[in-house]
Formats: sequence, C-alpha cells, structure tokens
Amino acid sequence: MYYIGKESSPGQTRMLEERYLIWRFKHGSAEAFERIYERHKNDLLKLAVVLLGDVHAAEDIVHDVFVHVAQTRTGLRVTGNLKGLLATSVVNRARNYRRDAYRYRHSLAQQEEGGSSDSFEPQQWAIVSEQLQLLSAAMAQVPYEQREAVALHLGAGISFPEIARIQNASVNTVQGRCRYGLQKLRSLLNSEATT
Amino acid sequence: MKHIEDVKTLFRNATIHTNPARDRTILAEAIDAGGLKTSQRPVRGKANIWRRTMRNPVTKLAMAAAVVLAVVVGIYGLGGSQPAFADVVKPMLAAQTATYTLVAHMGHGQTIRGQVQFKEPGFVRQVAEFGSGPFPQLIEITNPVEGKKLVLMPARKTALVVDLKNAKPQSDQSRAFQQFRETIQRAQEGADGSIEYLGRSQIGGRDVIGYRFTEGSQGITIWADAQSLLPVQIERTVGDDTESLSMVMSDIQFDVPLDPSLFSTAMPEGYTAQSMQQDESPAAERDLVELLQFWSESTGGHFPTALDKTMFEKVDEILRVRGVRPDKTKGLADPAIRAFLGGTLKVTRAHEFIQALPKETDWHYAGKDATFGDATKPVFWYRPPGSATYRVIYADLSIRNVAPESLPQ
Repeated sequence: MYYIGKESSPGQTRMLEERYLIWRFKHGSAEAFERIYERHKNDLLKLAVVLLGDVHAAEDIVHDVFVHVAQTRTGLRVTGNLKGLLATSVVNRARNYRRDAYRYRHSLAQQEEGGSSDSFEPQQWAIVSEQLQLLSAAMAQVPYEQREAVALHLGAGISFPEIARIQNASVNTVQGRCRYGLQKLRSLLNSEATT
Repeated sequence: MKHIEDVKTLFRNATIHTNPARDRTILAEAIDAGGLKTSQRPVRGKANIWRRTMRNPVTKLAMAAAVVLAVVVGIYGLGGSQPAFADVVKPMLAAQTATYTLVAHMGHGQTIRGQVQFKEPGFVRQVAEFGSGPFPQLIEITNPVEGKKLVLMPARKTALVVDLKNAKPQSDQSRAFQQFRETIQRAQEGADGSIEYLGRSQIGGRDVIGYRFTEGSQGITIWADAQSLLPVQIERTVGDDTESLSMVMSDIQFDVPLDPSLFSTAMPEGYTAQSMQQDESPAAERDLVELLQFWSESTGGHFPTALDKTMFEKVDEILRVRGVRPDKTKGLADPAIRAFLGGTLKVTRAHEFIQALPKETDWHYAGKDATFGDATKPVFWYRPPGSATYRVIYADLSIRNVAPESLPQ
C-alpha cells in the first residue's frame, strides 16, 4: 500500500505515476503513450547504441520497440517497471540483430573504416554526443554479455535482479559481468586516452 | 580515466538527442498502429459517457479512485504544486552571457551541429559543423559594437568580413538567442494560458520538468532541472510537417565568463579575406522590389511562384539556368558563389519583410503568372498599418497607392 501525500517518497510517487500512465496507455490514451515515449526514448536509444555500436541499427530497434508496444498494449504485462520491460525488448532485438552475422560484420567493418555510423544523414533520428561515440567504440570491444550487463545497469539504470532476469543468470553472475566489463572498459578508455 | 567511477560518470554524461520531426513521425506511426486516441472528444459524447458511468455503482467507485489518482499523481506533477514557468525562464531572460550546443535539423534533411556563445549586448560566436563537404566547419563572429561580422572557414583558411551597415546592438542576423528570449517574454505576457506544463521526465539521467508553448508556426518546449529549475534542454520547431526546421539546445549555461577575444573580428593570421556589405536595417518594401527585380532578371521575366521559403532552394536553380556554376571548392573567391550569396541575401531580406507584415495588412501575392514589364498587372499589394490605401507593386515594379475599392479581385 502506498500512501499518497506528503509521506510518500519520490520513488513511490514516481511508481504510482507510472502505473497510472500505463493504465491510461493500456486503455488507449495517445497522450499517455507520448509521455512514455518521451520519458524512455533517449535511454533506450543510448542502450541500443552502446550494445550495437551502430546508430542506425539502434534507431531501427527502438523505433520497432515503440511500435510493437503500442500494437500489443492491451496484452501488456508489466511485472517490474516499464523501463525494464522496454529495455528487455531492446536487448532481445539487439541480440537478434547480432545473430544476423552479415549485418553485424558489415556494421563493424564500417566502423573500422571510419564509416558513417555517427554521420548525419537525412531523417536521422538520434544525435549522439562525442562521449557516447567514444563509449560506444570502447564498448564494442567488451565481451557481449559483460557489455549487456554494463549497458543495462549504467546506461538504462536497470537493477541487478532485473538484469539477472533478462540475462537468465544469477545476480552474482550479473554483478561479476558488470564488474569485469567496467574494468575492461576502463582499460580500453585509458589506452584510448594515452594513444 | 583512473577509476571505475570515471567510467560511470562517462556513462551518465554520454548524451543522445533526437530529431523532433522524426519523433513526431514515429509517434504518429505507433499511435496509429496501436489504435490510440487523444482525449479530445466531443463534449456531448463525454457527458453521455460520464452519465452512464456514474449511474453504475461499480464504475462510479472506480472512476472516483481514478480521479483521485489523476489529481494527485497525474499530468500536473507530484508532491506539491508545479514550479512556475516564470521561475524556469528567469535565468535565461536575465542572463548576460549564455553558451549552448545547438543541433538544427533543416527541412531538407540536413543536420547542423553548433556551439553558440552569446554576450550582451549582442555579441555572438557560433561554430557550426556541417559534417562533410568543402566547408565542414564555419565560425561566425558577430560584433555589434564594431558593426562587423567575421565568417571563418578554417578548412580553406578563407574569411568573409561582413560590414553590418545600419547594424544596431540588438539587431543582426545572429540574434537567434535574443529572438528566442523575446518569444519567451511574449509567451509569459500572453493571458490565454497557452503555456502547457508537461510534468516530469528524464534527460541524460536528470529529473526534469517541461513546459511547452506555441507562437504562430513555432513550437517551443523547455525542459528544466526539477531541482534547480535551470534549463537543461530547449526544443524549437518552426514550420509545418512539409517544411520544418527543428532545433535542440542543450549543455545550456548562463552567466559564464566569456573572454572578449572570443568576439574579436580581427583577421586571424594566414587567412585570405573577402569583404561583403550586409544591410542589417529592418527589411522594407524596397527589399521585396529588389528581390522581384533580381528574380525577373535571372529567369527571363518571371517572378517567384510564392513568397515563401521555397525561394531559398530555387536561388541555386535559377542561377544555374542563367549559366552561373558555383564551384564550392573555390570558396568565396568564386564570383558564382558570391552571386549565389547575393541572391540568397535578397531572398532573406524580402522574406523577412513578408514575415514581419501583420495580418491586418491584408497582403496578397499574385506574381506566379505575371511577366515582368506589364504595368497593369499587380503582383503584390498590402495596406501599411494606419494607411487608408493599399501599396500595390506592379509587374513593371512600379508602386502606386490604390484605394481598397480599386484593388484587383
């Protein structure tokens, strides 16, 4: 039971607000969907960019997630928080994308050639900051499971138990992946800074 | 990057912005795919639903609960009253200096990224990144005290010095920030309640609150830090779906010390200078006449199809028809590029004149099918504020005062 008023914490009120938002969205409110979209789009794009290192693929994936969520709203079951559900959708699609070996190698090859993953093109959706470009390039060299754990935890603010559910692993394993991933990332970024 | 904490900080600071035009497209697609509806329904239907709902004790209870929830945690914020719009915009209205990152999405698909530094009374330094092409970067420095604008093209070590003829401290082409502040002031002064509170959201991991308002075809959304109320991100869209420009301002800082040397228009060493005069006085009727003259001379006697932004795109086209072939690799030394800039300047001034005409002036344009030289064919007419008669520009570019009853039908 949450008490509404001065006694409720910001976390509780945020949760209540989100539940109400989801309720309105499931009942067909376009305004509620717009608020969900505005609230989560940047974090989801950031997550997809650091997972894939390809802005265009990230755009496609997050675009697809929002359309899919809207299409399936009546059957939407949010057991944790909405952000976790949306992040899971992004992670699943990113995994599918990586399984398509040709596309993945193609995008890596583009990056190695100094390709256009961060260049501006007509109708580009996401504009990536220099820090995110740097981060994304370093993350591409972190083993994928560690990358996923780090991206979900730091990029999307997902809790370890939730990541454990997404990765189908124990919380300890996820914490370990995150730790090793961060160490690897720090080492990569240090070598980047000294070259 | 010595510590893990530094990596975490990098994660937090690594930001991403989105193109508002694409946001609208994606939202529209998803809303359509999900069969979602806006809450704007006919009043009568709303009342019927309300009556039916309130007759049923179960739905009545559910509705009451929903209403309580909506009031407490709904779109008007949480845990107290919403911050006042005035508190959010106060720092930017009072700022003596401002710096921000600007990402502009042009209507034809081009994106320009830039850094802007502003200092009262109208000093502006803008560094614009175009990505690729012969001029990947442009640095534009406007100095209203010296009455000069310096445009540097570092890739080719070329500089353009623009003499801002008739420049005033508060009036120049680079006064985007000033214009933006004026727009906010007008919105504040408006009593129609058009400023909409958007509630809370998150940008780059920061809790923010948002306000949105529109003025004409311009929409402005301001996201401010929920605690400090300082602006975090400002989004502007101008135009409609078919022809729009959107801009996102971020990394916004106010009243930071800015060295005066940033706004110096002294020529940097190693640069080749070109000079150009630019009239910064308010655009007037003569600017429209000059544009019509330029257009008819360049097209063999025709006038623009419409006096709108499409004219900008057509300048290049009509100059090419005239045999002018700009060579972008030569920069400003190329006479064709200077002709192109001159043509663009004429369009800009005429467009400014049209844009500034109040609705009451009842202006009309009928130049689409006119041919230069016809002294009986009116191409443009308007009634200046306070005037009993209309000013009519004919296809021979003569101008006459005409009584309202004698106007073309």
